[in-house]
Amino acid sequence: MPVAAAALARAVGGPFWFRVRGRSMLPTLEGGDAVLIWPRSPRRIPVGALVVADDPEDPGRTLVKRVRAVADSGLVVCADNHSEGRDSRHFGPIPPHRIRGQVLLVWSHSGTIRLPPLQRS
Amino acid sequence: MLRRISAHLQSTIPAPVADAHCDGPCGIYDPASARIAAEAVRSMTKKLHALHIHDPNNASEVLAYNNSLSRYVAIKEEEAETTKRQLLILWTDYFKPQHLEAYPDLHDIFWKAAKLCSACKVGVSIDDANALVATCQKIHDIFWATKNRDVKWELAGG
Repeated sequence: MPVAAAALARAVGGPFWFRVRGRSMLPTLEGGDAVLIWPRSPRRIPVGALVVADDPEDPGRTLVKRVRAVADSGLVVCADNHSEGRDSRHFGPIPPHRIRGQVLLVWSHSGTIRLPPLQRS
Repeated sequence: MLRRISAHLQSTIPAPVADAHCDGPCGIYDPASARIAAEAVRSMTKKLHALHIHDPNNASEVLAYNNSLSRYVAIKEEEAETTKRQLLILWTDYFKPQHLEAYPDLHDIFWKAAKLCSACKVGVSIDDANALVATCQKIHDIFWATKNRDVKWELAGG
């Protein structure tokens, strides 16, 4: 990301756009899709929503996952591609300060723009 | 038409990566990650070639030129590094000795692909950028052949 764009994004509480890499969120998100996040309080993020969060196991990485439950210690998240990926089954709930925000919009690599589906179960 | 424009715009927005992949032993690999980054390298290389100043005495035009130039170079640099990383993940984590038996030139392909990533970072050669995308296609073909799957090679940028 260009330095100026990164600095501006940080200044306004961002970044807000993230590019998805990998397959653990299939079929909802594909590698190359872009997601727009709403940096709202984790307490207000509903179960079933997609979130972008800093990886509790690697602070340098950012993850995109689905909220499966709200715990006292943070959000319990899972990959949509259940059999794959590391998520709260491995590292437990993600603490609130590591949550970047809720995914508001998905801009697919094929050019379509859609709302991310809420999945409560 | 609109969708193609949208897909093109989408591929050019600067955005940090959100991983839906794990560095744990998930066993999920896809050469598409390298392909997307390589396409971005090619796109930025083309944009750099298309960049011109019409009036060098126009301060605002020079500023806009410098701004665009910096952005394109930075994105090209970053995406070339991403391409290299994604290729190295495939090379070191996915491919196994039995694949090398079936594809004896596998090491050479990856070694040259990594060199091309470096060349695309260092220079602004459209030939190198095209060669990088072509090499990603070669790796795509080998990768899916090892899985006995016929996955069509498709470019996001057309």
